[in-house]
Amino acid sequence: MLKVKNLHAGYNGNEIVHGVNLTVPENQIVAIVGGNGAGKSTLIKAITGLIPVMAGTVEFNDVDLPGQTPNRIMQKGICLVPEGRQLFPAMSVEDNLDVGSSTKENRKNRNENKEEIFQIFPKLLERRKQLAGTLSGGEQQMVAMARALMGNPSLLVMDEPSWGLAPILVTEMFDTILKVRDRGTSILIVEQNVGKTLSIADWGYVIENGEVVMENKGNILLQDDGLKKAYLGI
Amino acid sequence: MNIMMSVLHGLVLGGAYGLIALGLSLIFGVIRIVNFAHGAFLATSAYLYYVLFSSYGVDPFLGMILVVPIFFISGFLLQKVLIRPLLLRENASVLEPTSVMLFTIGLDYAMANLLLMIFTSKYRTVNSWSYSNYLRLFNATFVTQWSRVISIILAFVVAGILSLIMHRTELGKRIQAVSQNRDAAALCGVDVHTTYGIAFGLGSAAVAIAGACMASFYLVSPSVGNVFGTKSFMIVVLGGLGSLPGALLGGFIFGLIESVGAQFMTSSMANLLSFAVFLIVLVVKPEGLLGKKK
Repeated sequence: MLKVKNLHAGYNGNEIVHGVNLTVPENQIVAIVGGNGAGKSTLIKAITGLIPVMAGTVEFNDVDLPGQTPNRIMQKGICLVPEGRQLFPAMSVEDNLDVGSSTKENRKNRNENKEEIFQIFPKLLERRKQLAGTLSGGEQQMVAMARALMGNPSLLVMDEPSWGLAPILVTEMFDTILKVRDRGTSILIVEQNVGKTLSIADWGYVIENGEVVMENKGNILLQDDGLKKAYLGI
Repeated sequence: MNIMMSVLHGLVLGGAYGLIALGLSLIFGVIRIVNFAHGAFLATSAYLYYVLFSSYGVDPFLGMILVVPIFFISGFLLQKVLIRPLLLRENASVLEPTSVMLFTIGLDYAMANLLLMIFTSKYRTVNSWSYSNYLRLFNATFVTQWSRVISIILAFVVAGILSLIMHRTELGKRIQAVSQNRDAAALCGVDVHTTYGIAFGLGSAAVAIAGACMASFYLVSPSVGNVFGTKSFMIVVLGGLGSLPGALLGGFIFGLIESVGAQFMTSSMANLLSFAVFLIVLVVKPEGLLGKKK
């Protein structure tokens, strides 16, 4: 459903991603792993329209995305859980979710959607009147994910979702990601937590210096000696 | 007793100040740009009311039906057509991009001089009913123009309506979201620049309402922009940039200082005193009285 071909992107004329190819098939979890500064977030920002694409194509359900604004891309069905959560801190949890479903299309089934999301994140039902900025890190991550899901994405993109979370919460979050996939949402996840991520991924890409250096099924990549040494410290 | 009366006068004056500052505060709170042309907007609307009154006999408060929507649309277009490209070019996650600041300063000069060209520097009065009729209270020891009474009421009405829009409507949620995190709002499907345009339109509509009040109690001249514009910047900063209740509070403080102070010193000294209070607050509480800490 998402096809990225020969994508080049960067900031202020400095190219960081040099010609990446990747595909996210329907109903799968695809992971992009790699170290700090490998260009993972840059790639994600270019796909979701936050920064311009310098060259290459991004096709989503046979529609060209480059050049479109982030809100248009979102309306095509790609929702991003951004790095560092990026909540609306002075708004309540529920208002955050309402903004997540503020397009005309999404407002129609907002209430059913909210109910379903409160089932996935019962904690948020308790906290729904609380200001998002006053929540704990784990709860904030839940809001970020819930807000993106309120946009009815067919592809959910997650940028470093385990950032700043305690290990037990990381495990919980990966369980949630599997649940979301089982609802029929494809997932593209960018992570530094290489082990956990690849263990749930159907397909994984390893990025170094802005290029894909390896790709395979998640569990096969996990067996790779070079990767183990570089990212898992074994 | 004199003090009591001057407090009342101060409150009435402060209501008008607050009303003028509301639009400026709203625009800053959402788009994070200071509209330096705010004073020129005020003066332009005042002249529109003057023309409506002198040519067609329309009372400014009735004229709002026409002028306020015109200002909403102009504010919207100004943001969407002229400021948007500047914001995009600076890729502005920065606070107050320089080009936008220079643009609004330039716009202020251009508008003020255009008014000077069309209407000359002659002082005009809008001698409407509320200008020449007075409210008398306490055996006529407190006398004030009806237009000033209407101003203070409108200040609260406008602040109330804007707060309702911001906190109770879908649009308000989008405006808040955009002001708190522009990129995240865009990722939620919110059209950022349209939302900015609406916020700019609302701020401009608010200043057009203030213009109706001002035209009815003050002299209309190209310099009202400077007099009230500069003051409204200070009021907004004093109350807390972006805070609507802060704009009202700042207005009342300025009104009170000027009016009560004038009982003890010359009114230019009282003016000086309000600047001094402004500077002290700026030093002690830089975020303003009701502003949020950064």
